[in-house]
Amino acid sequence: MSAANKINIHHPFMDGVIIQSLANGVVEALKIMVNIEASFEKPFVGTNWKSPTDFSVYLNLNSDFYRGRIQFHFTEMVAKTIVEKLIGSEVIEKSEILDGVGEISNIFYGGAKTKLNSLGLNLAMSLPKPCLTKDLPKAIAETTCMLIPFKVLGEICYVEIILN
Amino acid sequence: MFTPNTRFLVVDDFNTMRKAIKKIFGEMGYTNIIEAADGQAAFETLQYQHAKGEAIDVIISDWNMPRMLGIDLLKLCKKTPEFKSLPFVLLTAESEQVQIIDAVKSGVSEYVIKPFSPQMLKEKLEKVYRKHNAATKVA
Repeated sequence: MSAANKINIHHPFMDGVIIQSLANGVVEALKIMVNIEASFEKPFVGTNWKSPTDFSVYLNLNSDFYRGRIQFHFTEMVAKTIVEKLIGSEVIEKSEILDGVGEISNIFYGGAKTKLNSLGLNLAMSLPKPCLTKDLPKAIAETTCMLIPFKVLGEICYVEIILN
Repeated sequence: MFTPNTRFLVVDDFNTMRKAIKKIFGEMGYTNIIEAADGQAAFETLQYQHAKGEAIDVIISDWNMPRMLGIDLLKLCKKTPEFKSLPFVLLTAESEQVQIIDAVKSGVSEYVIKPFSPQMLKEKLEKVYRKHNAATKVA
């Protein structure tokens, strides 16, 4: 990992517009698709951070300027509620929850990507990969990440950005 | 609107989204829904249904999928005489202008950007029906 790509307060991913784009992608998707309100908390830089959640989804970030990963982390209650509201019936199997958080994360990312690309980031399309948080594969550079916590249904979930 | 026995092909790599669309369509009175998990499986389903005399009437497809993208399925359908006039709706989280232009040039009937509410999807489907109905009358 080069020093130039390390996330710090001067890094472009700490730009307020970019953080706001990611936050808006999440808030709008949850409101429109499942009528759930979400609110964002203050973003922070994490070092050797481990998500305290149950379900995660990772997408590769590939652009002309940046390579890395964006990850969405959900508690089990939040993940289950979102999926049940999407399909209109109870979910029991973890595989159903994983599939559902994969899709909703794809929508989160799609909304943010459109905005970010309009700002010149040129992010490529990426297929979301859902997994249990404990099984999340290590990113190449995992020492420093940017975290944007969001509160939904009274619990804290996270958007995490890791750059190589 | 489309008749209740209209046969829809819903294509998405996420089972959750296929179920969500089935739920919305069910509320609209449409229950004849066949599913496929990617563009390639969808094209095989189109051929299979056509061969057995139970052809698909409308395709609702995601864009971003493994094996074959929704846009490539659209282009393949437009090149295939049996499927080229089928109404084709692309559902996507991608809303960049270059992609919308590609879809329109390729002959998409409607383009639905995720996130969408049930009402938004219903309105798009009504537009597809009106376009398709007008095109059928002209033909």
